[in-house]
Amino acid sequence: MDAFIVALMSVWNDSGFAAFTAGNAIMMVVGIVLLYLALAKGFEPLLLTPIAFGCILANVPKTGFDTDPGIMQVILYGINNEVFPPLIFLGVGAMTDFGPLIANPKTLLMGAAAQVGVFISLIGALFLGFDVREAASIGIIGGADGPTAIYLTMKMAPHLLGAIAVAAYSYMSLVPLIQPPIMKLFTSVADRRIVMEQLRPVSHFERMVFPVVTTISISLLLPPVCSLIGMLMLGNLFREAGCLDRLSDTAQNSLMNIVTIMLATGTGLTMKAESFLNYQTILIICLGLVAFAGGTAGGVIFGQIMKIADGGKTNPLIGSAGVSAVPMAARVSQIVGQKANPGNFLLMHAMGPNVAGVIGTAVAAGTMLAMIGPAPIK
Amino acid sequence: MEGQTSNPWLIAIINMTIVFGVLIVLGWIMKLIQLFDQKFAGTK
Repeated sequence: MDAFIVALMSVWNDSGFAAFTAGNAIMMVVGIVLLYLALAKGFEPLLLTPIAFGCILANVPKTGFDTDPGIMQVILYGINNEVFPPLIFLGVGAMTDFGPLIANPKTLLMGAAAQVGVFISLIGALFLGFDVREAASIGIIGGADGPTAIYLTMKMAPHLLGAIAVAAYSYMSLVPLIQPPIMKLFTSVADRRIVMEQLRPVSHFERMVFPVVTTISISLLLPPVCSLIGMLMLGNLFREAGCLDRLSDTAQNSLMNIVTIMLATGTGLTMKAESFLNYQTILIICLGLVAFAGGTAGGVIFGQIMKIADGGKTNPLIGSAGVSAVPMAARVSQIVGQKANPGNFLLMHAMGPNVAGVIGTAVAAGTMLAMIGPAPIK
Repeated sequence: MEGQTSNPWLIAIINMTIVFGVLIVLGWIMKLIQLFDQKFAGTK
């Protein structure tokens, strides 16, 4: 009988239950809530589902994910060494039409203006007591660009990755709810009714040269983001070349799906109770919202400036798409514009600032890395 | 590589200047590509 009890105790002591804490339980509930939001409410299900499941897995004690070789080590390697964000950018480049941006380069300025949210949030984070690297990582949530947020955070404040990734992807899924009130606040009904001229056709030559020239110029200026910009533009070159359909198809479908699974699950694996359940996480969630709202407002206000500068030809609503979140932010511009004027088709016009926002966020991340420097290796 | 500044206002101003500067230059490059295309390449 004693031997039986000893064996039973041994099984219990080796089980996860013996080390299971209240924090682990809370984080599992957080994971289940995120699963509910993703699967039942449709909030970014492709990303939030693996993040939520990774969160549940991360809070099972004694799994050895951090120490024992295996698939989880491979996933965590990809997260810790910034392997996945550039691969996601390869797929984004292959899926995105840069034509509207090339046809109307002025929209680049809206993508730049929308980065103001990053710095509003950065300044707020510094005043709330975060150090400069943590503040930069929190600010980048305002770029509404998940891969760049993960990339920068892993370089500058890896201990905040879980909270920042969840905030970034949650707000990206909430773009259709967050942006319209801000867009309406900074525009009149007459502004929203403005019909923009059709974009000029963009030649094959321009589409081919743009990614190459952009990669060279931005990478030379900001080498720390060369992998992000380079992969984004390489993916776009696959798309536009006309003779690389197989590579383009792989980049935007199979590879994108595989990397999304790994990146999102790996992000969830960083959401351990000991690093996630603290006051900082609440502040990060709040600052992320400020960053998002600030970026949207910055883009729309710059849209107003452009409208005045070009004699009323620009609909300021397309400025909100400068926060990235490709292509959802552009769709929001289209929806809000069409509500004011059913004959208004802003989607292609909004894709210009939308793509510019992706490039602008990567430039902002590279500049912060160059100015502040990555976190010291421990 | 290790940076020097931690002044939030300085970081914000310098960074926004660089973001605007890079994207403005990118816009000029696009215009140049278009001009080159119209003058020499002549692709459709």
